[in-house]
Amino acid sequence: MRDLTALVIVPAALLVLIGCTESGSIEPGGGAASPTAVTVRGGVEVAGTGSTASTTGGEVELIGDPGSISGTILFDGTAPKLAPVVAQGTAKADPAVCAKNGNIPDESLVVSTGGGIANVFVYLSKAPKGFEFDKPAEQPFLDQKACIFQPHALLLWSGLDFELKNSDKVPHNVQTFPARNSGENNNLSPGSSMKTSFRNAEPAPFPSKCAIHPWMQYWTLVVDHPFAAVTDADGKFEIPNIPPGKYKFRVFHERGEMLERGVEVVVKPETETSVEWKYGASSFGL
Amino acid sequence: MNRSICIILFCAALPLVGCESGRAPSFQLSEQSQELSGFAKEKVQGELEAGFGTPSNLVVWSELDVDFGQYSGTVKKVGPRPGTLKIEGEGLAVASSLAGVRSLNDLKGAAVVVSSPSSVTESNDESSGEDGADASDARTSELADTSSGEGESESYRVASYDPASRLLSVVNENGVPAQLSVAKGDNVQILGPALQEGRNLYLRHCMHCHGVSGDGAGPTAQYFKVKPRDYRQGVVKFTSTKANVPRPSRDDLFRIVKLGVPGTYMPSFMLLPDEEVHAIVEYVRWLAMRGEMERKLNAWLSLDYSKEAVADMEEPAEEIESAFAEAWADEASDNITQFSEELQMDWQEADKEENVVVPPTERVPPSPESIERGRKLFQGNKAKCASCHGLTGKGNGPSTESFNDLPGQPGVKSDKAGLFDIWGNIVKPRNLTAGVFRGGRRPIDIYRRIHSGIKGTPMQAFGSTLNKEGEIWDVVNYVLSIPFENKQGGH
Repeated sequence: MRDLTALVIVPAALLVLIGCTESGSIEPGGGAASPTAVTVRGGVEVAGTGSTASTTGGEVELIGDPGSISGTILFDGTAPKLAPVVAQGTAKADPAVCAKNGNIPDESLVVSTGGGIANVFVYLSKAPKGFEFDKPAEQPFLDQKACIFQPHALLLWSGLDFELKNSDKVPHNVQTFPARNSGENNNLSPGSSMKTSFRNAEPAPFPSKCAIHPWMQYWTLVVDHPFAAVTDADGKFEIPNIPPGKYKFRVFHERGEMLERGVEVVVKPETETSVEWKYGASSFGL
Repeated sequence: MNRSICIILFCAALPLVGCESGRAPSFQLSEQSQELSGFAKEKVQGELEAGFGTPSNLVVWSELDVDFGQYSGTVKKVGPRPGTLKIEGEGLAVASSLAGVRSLNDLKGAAVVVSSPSSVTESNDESSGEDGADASDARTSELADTSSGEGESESYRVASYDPASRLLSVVNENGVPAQLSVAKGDNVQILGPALQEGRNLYLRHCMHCHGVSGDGAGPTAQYFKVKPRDYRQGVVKFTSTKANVPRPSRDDLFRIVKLGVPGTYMPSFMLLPDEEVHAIVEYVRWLAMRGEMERKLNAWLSLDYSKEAVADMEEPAEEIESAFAEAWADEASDNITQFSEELQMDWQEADKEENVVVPPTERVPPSPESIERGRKLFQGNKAKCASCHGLTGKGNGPSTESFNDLPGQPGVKSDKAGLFDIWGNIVKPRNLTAGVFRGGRRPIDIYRRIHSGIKGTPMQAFGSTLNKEGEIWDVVNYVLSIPFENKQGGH
């Protein structure tokens, strides 16, 4: 019995003693009782040398008139045929409009009969320094027809308005998932349109989706310079009017992600530089 | 006898195990930051510590739209003991709306800035940083110790303040009484007490679910099906702000803390005094800004300097590291300034009155006609609420049956059907038959959910679609009537 008493009373007494702080009250938990100090930040003191070479953008020589780049991006081998995302007549939402007259194809990898990969973004991560350029007067617009976003790959400038249209007979919404901007999610009733814009350039293309028809998706790249392009249905792209110099381009495809983080392209004055890049199934996770 | 002694010693040891009162918490780098290669991660960590500090050493960065709390006073004379100052008149006075939350008796640790009233511009030249620094009250000058010269200025902290005798005791970083060269009439500013108090209240009341860094992954969060909010994207679901204003207002956060979020594990903190809730809200905003800064840094750096990227590159590691050092030296200052400007802009927008969703017309009374119009909009082709919420409002519309790509992993399908929110969770459309509305059950709350959507989720903004007069109110009336309907929708 004495042992049992010790077993109960001693820990109880110790618990009481330990639980009490000097003032006799219970301390708040979570570390709230630990002390805090405050420092004031003086300014953004990051040592800068202000060098003119931009590492991933490119070195611009600014000697001579601009050249241009024309390129083709090809699939190495036989491109796989992807199953449609929605087979005809099987749309779970709005089957009277979506996938009514045909399948909705899987646009995550679109390869032409000639092997050209469409919807590949080719761009400089940032504009080369020392070169001035004008913003375009108009931007491409996004549309929705037969429950498919058009275009599938959208190239936009930052700071400029662009239009979201819904040419379908059913409502859609456009929810964006950018990295350096704030995402938006707007409903668009049939036949309506609205304008919005992205404030900042994005480091890479990002997806946007419709929640009502969840197979709907498209990719957007936002840039703040003209040295960007998207391959067309034949896998071809062009970047006209680029100052002579050595550049490192990013090449992005939604399925392969960064196919190139910085592939070197040399531009000579008043010359068209031709490039051809090939990527096989392994680059696309297939 | 021996056995008794053993038992007593054993029992004595038991309560000592697990006693960790007063252990200091620390911020965690995000999952994305952890994926950066060492040299980049170090810089991100350094920048976050410079701009925000740690939970034990908070940084007042006046570029941010945060009320850190400020007391001010004028020096009457230097006190008897080293490092003490006597304050003129009534002593230290509240100089910002939240300062009063931390009592004057308990200012220990707050930052002390002493400035000569005539030489504010002079000291700004001495301190490093951006050019064009304005001498507005947003910027503080640090003229406390002239012997330190340009560059590093010493930081001073409050050791104690006695309101009765108006004696302020100042120490430097090491706790040694400060060598102050001040004159009568110099301004004294005490910065940071509101943030200190917000931090203490947050750690006590919020941290166990929301985490020290505000990542929604505190120790108790693992037991919840509906996860606590991760503030680090700066997005909160239930706001009164317009669809294109991404941040919540202070009022929104105040409401959420005070009223809780019915239907989730977020309780109501109605019993906390308003002042304390305001301080918590301010701290939460500060944590969100820290998370956003981290995201912005990662958006800039991770493409080229994540572990994966560095492994992919052909150049040797030293070359990449020196390329990074060059890029950082070249761009960091401008980028971080831009990031802080964006933070300032975004959070300020949210508090502007013009950005609160205010219905253009008064609420349409919930007559059977209005409810019928609302039902037609809910189920019809214009708004198509039924596509997610289901024809009867049960949250089982056709959109919930699809298997979608996992967020951030295009092409990889989730094994569970449903739509995702931006925090990576599958989120179900609200079952409106239950009558539980997480963001508030006032008609105006439901109006705002419909008008601006629920940020971060597939619930989109219908403000431009339902733009005819009274349309959104009709839908609100219908939604409020759903719990009282028969099983068949709309009757």
